[in-house]
Amino acid sequence: MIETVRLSKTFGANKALNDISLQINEGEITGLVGTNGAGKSTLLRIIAGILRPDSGQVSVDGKAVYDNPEAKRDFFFVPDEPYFFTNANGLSMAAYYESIYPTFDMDRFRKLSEAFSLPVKSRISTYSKGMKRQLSILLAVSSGTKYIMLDETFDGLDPVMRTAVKSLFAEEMSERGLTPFISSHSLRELEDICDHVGLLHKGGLLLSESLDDMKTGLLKLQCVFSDEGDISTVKENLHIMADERQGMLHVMTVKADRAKALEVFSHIDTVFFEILPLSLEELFIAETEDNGYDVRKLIIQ
Amino acid sequence: MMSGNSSSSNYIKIQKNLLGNRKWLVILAFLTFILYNGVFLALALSTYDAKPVMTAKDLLSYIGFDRIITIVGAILLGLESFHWLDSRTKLDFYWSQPVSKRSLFVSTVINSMGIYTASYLLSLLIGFVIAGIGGGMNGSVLLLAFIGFIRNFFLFLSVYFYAVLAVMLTGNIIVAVIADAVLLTFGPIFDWSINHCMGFLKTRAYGSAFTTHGILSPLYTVTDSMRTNGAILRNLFCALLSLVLSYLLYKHRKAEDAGNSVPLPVVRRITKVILIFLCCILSTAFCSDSSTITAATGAVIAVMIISAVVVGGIMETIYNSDVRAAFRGYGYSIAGCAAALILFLGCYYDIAGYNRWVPAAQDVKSAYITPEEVNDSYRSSYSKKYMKLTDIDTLNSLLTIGEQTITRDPYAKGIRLNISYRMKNGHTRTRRVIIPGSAFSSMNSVFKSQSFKEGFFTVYHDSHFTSQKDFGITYYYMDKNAEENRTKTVTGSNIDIYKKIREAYIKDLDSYDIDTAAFETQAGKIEIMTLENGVEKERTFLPVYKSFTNTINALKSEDMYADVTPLSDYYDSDSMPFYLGQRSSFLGHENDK
Repeated sequence: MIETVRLSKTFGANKALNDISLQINEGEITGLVGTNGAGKSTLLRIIAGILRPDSGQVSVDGKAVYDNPEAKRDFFFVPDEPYFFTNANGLSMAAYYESIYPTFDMDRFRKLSEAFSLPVKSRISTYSKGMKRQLSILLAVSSGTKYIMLDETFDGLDPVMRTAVKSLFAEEMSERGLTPFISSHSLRELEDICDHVGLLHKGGLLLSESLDDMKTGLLKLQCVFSDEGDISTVKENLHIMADERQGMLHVMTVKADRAKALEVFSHIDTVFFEILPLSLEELFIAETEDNGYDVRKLIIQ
Repeated sequence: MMSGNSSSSNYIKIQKNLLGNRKWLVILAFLTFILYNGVFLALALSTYDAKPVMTAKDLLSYIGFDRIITIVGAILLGLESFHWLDSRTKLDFYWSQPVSKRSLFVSTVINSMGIYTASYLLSLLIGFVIAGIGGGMNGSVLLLAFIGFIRNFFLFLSVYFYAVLAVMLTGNIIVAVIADAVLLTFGPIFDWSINHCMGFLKTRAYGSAFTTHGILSPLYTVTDSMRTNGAILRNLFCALLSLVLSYLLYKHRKAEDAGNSVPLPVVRRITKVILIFLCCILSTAFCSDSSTITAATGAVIAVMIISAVVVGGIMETIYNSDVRAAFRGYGYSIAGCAAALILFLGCYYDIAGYNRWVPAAQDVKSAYITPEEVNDSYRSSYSKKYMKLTDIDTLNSLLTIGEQTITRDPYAKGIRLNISYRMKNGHTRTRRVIIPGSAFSSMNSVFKSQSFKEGFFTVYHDSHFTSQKDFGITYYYMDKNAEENRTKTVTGSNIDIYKKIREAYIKDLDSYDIDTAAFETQAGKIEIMTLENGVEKERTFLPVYKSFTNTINALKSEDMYADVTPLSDYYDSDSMPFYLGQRSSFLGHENDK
């Protein structure tokens, strides 16, 4: 488990991180969402042991990270702008990482690069931005580390490649318990991949929850009441977080479990009633609205 | 912690990776050294036609390109070693990997030393093989080459760590290059600047001129790194100091410093004050190179202020990477400029009364004088040790004559003497005087005295030389065109020849006085050089005047004398008046009595 406890970091007059406590559990894909300047890269660079926090602690499986090779052997950090040696090609970079990471699997890298049709014998300087990101991901996966941290690496991958990388992660997670930690400035980029999501805004962590937990307590209901007065009955029995009307149609986000909602609506005469799945975006909107944040402006693009 | 095996294997991997990424430096180092040692030096060794000892010494010690290659190589390797610290992308790459900062630092340093050492020694080996085929090799060459390598290696270390320190102090490679230039040249510039200012004292003592003795600058040792073992120690000191500072700065360096030109505020401030101080002093050189200095004091001050504004502006622009920031931190500009002004005006108006100082005879134990023009380091130390003049009143009168001469004309001509008083309180105080030709007679009692002769001519206390079983004696003379030539060099165990010459020379010195020293044309000079394992240890010169008949006869008996008189039109001996006489036009006396 990667754990941060009350992390703070300031750059000059700019408070980049403020009292961040976060847990990244093994076997889950954790996403970190935030606008540009929210502090995502700073948090990842602290966790990767590049930056030293002003206060607070970071540990990877209980080991302090900063300047500790033993802890760093357990993770691979893919920054938003990956660096490759001048004149290097994919294979020479893989050879480099093979000498750095004891768990690096060169055969795996060769197979993956073939599967992803990456020209690993060509100079990296001839690669497109997307190809460089693919190479970074393949190097990270082949390193055999327990954790992979990706800083906005998914942003900019085309849909086909995103799907392929997701499958790759799923395979690695099931085979050897890989734990990816992904940051993005767009919630939609992480929607179908993460098990756990944290929302970072202006250096503070607005929320960090498991998607299952979030989904368990929240429902999206669509209904047309026979008698519009019945809405008061619903309000009395369920916590309505949002209610949007389109003519006679109510689209409500309610804080309740499925059984309770069905039980309430069983006593109400409706023309139409349906329980719908909540998107990640809707979950975030519902969770953050109470705090006075318009999450749509923060992370949905 | 890793196990021993895992640690060494990890270390080898890091070295391999480093070499892989520094191929261009490895190739450059090998090519350069092979060109120098493998081609140039080998050819020179194979074709140089002279005495074997001098061949090795001349070729390996005085050519000097190896030092230039060493310095340039050290700077390149030093700047390249940690240049990635100025880039966030590269820093993320290196510092996120499972390699400790310490390992990375140590491995990089060792890698750099390895590149230098391997390319140097391998090319030397190739050079020796080629020279051996050409018949130009002998044992002394090998020994000198090894000594040369050791000295160059220490020079490399000091220059390399200065470059590393420059990178650690900055967060931008271009600023690091500037910082390295400042660090390397700071010592000589600092000394020169201070002494330039002290030049306004007019009679300042040459012997006691301010110097840091190269403690803070490896470049000081370049000029004599092949001659003195002290250079090794000074370079070692520079290397260790910059290594420790570099490592501490690296260890505590923050990732966010990448891209910041000079991250540490304290370094910014100190550097700014010191550089402005130096530039202000240096700027006075533009206004003080003539006798117009008296009238130009106001101009000097104005130039200093302008320098402070310009240099301060440039530094703030570099610090902030923004030309609009040029006038920030003016307090430090004022501090640097004020310090320079205080020094300049203090020296110019002789606030400390330096020029006016004349010691009371009862406070002085003894004294020694060294003619400034006699450029012989051994003689200076010899005089310091053996010359014990006790006629303090005469020396004080010379001091007064010198002061009056300077007051009348700061650029007066004459013999420049450094008079050093050994005070009874244990201190030594030195003053420089210029004695014009018209006042030479005042020096006669000093020059005639036995205590002067014993402290000036190295034949009186020569155990330093005679204790060596191997030394060379050479007679140099001036040919008709006043160009230096030599008859022959006697090397090996020749103590008897030396004793014969010595005896004759001491006899001739009986008649030596200021007239001989200043007005008699020098026929030539005898060079005595001691050798240890074929390497020059020390050398000194004995002037031979035409009136030194005993010495000339002794030289003739050994077939070492050449009876040649240079044409007076070619005669320009300002630099060695005690050896070669003075031109009549210079002193107002007839040359060659």
